[in-house]
Amino acid sequence: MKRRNFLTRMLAGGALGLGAGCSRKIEPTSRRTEDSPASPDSGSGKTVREPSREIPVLAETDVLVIGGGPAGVAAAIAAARTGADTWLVERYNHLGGLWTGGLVLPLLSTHAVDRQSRTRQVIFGIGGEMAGRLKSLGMAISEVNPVIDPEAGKFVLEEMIRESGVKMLYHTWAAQVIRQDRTIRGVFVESKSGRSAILAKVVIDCTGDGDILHWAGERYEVMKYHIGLVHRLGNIDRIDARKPGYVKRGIGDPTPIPGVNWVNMHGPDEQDGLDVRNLSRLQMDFRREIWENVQRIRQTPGYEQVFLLDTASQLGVRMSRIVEAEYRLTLEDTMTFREFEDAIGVSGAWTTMLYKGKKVPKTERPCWQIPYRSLVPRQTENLLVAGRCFCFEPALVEDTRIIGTCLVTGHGAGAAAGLAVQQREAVRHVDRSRLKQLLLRQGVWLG
Amino acid sequence: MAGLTSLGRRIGFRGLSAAAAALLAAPLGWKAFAGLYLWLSPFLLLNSALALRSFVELNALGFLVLAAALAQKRWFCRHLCPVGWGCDLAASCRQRRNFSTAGFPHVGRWLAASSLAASCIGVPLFQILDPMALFHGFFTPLSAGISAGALPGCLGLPLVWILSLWYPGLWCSRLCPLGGLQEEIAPIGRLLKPKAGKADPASPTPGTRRRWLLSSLAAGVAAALLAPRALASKKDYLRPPGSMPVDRFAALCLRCGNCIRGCPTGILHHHMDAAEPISWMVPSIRFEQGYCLEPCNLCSRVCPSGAITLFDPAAKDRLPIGLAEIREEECLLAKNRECDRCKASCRYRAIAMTARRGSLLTLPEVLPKKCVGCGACEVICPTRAVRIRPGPPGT
Ligand SMILES: Cc1cc2nc3c(=O)[nH]c(=O)nc-3n(C[C@H](O)[C@H](O)[C@H](O)COP(=O)(O)OP(=O)(O)OC[C@H]3O[C@@H](n4cnc5c(N)ncnc54)[C@H](O)[C@@H]3O)c2cc1C
Ligand code: SF4
Repeated sequence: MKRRNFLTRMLAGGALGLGAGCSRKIEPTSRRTEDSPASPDSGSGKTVREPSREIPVLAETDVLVIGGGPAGVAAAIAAARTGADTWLVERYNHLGGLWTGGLVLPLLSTHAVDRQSRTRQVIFGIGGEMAGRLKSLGMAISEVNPVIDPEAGKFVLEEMIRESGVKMLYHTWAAQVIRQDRTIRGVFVESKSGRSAILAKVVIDCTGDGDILHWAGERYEVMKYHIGLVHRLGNIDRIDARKPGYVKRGIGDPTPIPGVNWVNMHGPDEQDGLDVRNLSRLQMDFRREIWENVQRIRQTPGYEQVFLLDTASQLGVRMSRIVEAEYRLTLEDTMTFREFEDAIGVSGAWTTMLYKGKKVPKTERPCWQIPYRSLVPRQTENLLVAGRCFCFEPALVEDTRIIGTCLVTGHGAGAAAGLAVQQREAVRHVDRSRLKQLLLRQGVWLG
Repeated sequence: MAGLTSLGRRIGFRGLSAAAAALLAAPLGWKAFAGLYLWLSPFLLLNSALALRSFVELNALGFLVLAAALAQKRWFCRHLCPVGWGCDLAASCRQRRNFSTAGFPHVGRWLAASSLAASCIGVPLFQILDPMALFHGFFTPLSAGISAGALPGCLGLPLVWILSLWYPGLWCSRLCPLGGLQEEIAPIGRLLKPKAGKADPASPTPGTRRRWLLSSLAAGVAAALLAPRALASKKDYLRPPGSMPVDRFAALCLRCGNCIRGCPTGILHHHMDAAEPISWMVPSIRFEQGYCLEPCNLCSRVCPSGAITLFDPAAKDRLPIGLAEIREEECLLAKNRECDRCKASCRYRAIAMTARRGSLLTLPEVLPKKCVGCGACEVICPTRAVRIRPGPPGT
């Protein structure tokens, strides 16, 4: 009897103890509040009205490419090779953008794993030609992700522009677009020669920062990211490690020129790359920091001969605008050999990534196709976007902002622009199969 | 046709049940249904419910079986138990007739009663001997690989079956705590029935019964009072989110391996620490190939013991596994290399990149208030500069 009592009581007690409302689950508390974005400082708040005036037309062309970085150069050459009359506008005095003027010397993501799990080269086409020419000049270290000499880069890119018949405008800033309904008739530019207009059938935004798409009224998101300033050191080969008091110091990485190293700078995070006052402040802070750092190096025994060769002429803005295009490339696309019927090229992988909670080492990462639609903004009929501001989800940023990818998107946009001119079509309606054939003829690997 | 029916009879319903249990225990992506049979055991149900004074929805299965066992003595043993099915199969193989369990003490009943008594004080003493726990432990190497940590767990089931070769019926009728529990509650079931039957001739006399009860009660309570010290591991290790505090975890965990099999990113392993045998085989986290996925709560859904408390995925930011720690001198950024991976991988925004004045360096910094120790940064860091250290106890 007693045992039964005990058990009955225990069970009853248990049931009571459990009772209603004793369900065991940890529920979320309140929603996590998102970090509120800092409000942009709009300067003094005052405005003045610019008087309207007649602007001379500098040129009328088929294709106008704004920005002479890796994307812009590839785009201009690709367009010119379709037979289109092509102009290229660059605000500084060199081609190559951050790759050369920014002293960001490694051309990353040239290789990745294909469907047969073999590591192979994926960047061909105009980007591949550039790498090949630099290599044959002895100005590129290594086949995979080559590190180039910046002056050789500027030279080779300029030679290729010359050969293709692209009309080059240096020292010229694009300043505004000439909008008409859903098309842009051209772009206003500023230079020593004053303000002028270049009219074009198709415009390609390769400014990296998406200046053109912003003026064209396209939608985009702004990503605040690290900004840095790269510099180079000379006389690295004259460092004397046997000197008493010698200690190892961070002196960057080798370039194709003996005795010259390039020194990367990651720089502060969450920087606004579109605020010129911020850019100017950073420029000054960085220059001073670099100078002082090099002095510290020179005072270290053994390093006396090392000197600051140069700081980059372009401030290293990694990210700013990301356009909203017809398609947003996703991490999943790049991890699963996603095939696109409108693929314009394939890019590679240089970094290990996380996917679905698991690590995918860089040596096992698949190559990934880039669809044409991710270069086509939603509204404007004759605007294409290439380079680090094309349309992707931010989780992909380390792969999409990279020089190799910029070369691929540039090539695709240039060829498509040429085709749009030929077909007298809006860029969005370019015939996909003809684009594919054209790209294959131009040496692009489509996977 | 006749062949099929006779085959069917030979396999029997329990054989089918055993096959189903094995399928559900295998790592076939059952998600929340992985290891479903663990939830059927009323012994596990009562242990966890009494120890934690709470239950979860899936416990309803255990209650159903409990009710069935009240209606029919050893209902679970007769109709469902895959372990018992294997024992009988083993026994029939050797046909050893001259062994009788008659003189053998009812260890299982004693285990059941004392375990439940101890559970009331919070320590489910013998639940790791539950046949469903043994059965599932056996399947763990299929997904987690054979390791010294998992070995004791996968030996339980074969041992029970080998025992049945020499001593048929011994496990089921005398040793199994789940069987013991069903025997213990059978008298209540008879009481509940309209026509109370006579006393079970096999049951002990009232005098022995009292002694039984007292001894099991006393042993359970004494063990439970002593146990917290003996069963509490002192050294913290990385445990799944929502885990009970480390001093109770080892005592609550069944070692069934359900969470380890379920984890979609494969970060759970059997814990092995020679210095702390008490936490042997419980799940612990290694961030090698993956991290704790943000929208996932699978381990907490499949944990039948409550060692991992069921949680809503949205509550994960309050359930830290640990805290990230960065050795700056190892960080790529300290060498001016391009990297942002730890910060970019953090869904909780717990890593900030801070510029160091006076040098060119911007280095990652952990914000302890936001970090939950999900391990994404540890996995992605190319130089292994980031490590998750076991943090404050979960719930
Ligand atoms: C510090 C740093 C390190 C990096 N490290 C690497 C690395 O190691 N490897 C790698 O592959 N990538 C690296 N990257 C990324 C890569 O260098 C760039 O993302 C890539 O060069 C972008 O190419 P782009 O053609 O889109 O733009 P950019 O290279 O920025 O070129 C844009 C060009 O457009 C011009 N321009 C802009 N606005 C106007 C305007 N309004 N009018 C006229 N011209 C205009 C600019 O002067 C510039 O020449 C790094 C970037 C930075 C900042
Ligand atoms: S992932 Fe590692 S190397 Fe990269 S920034 Fe973070 S700590 Fe540094």
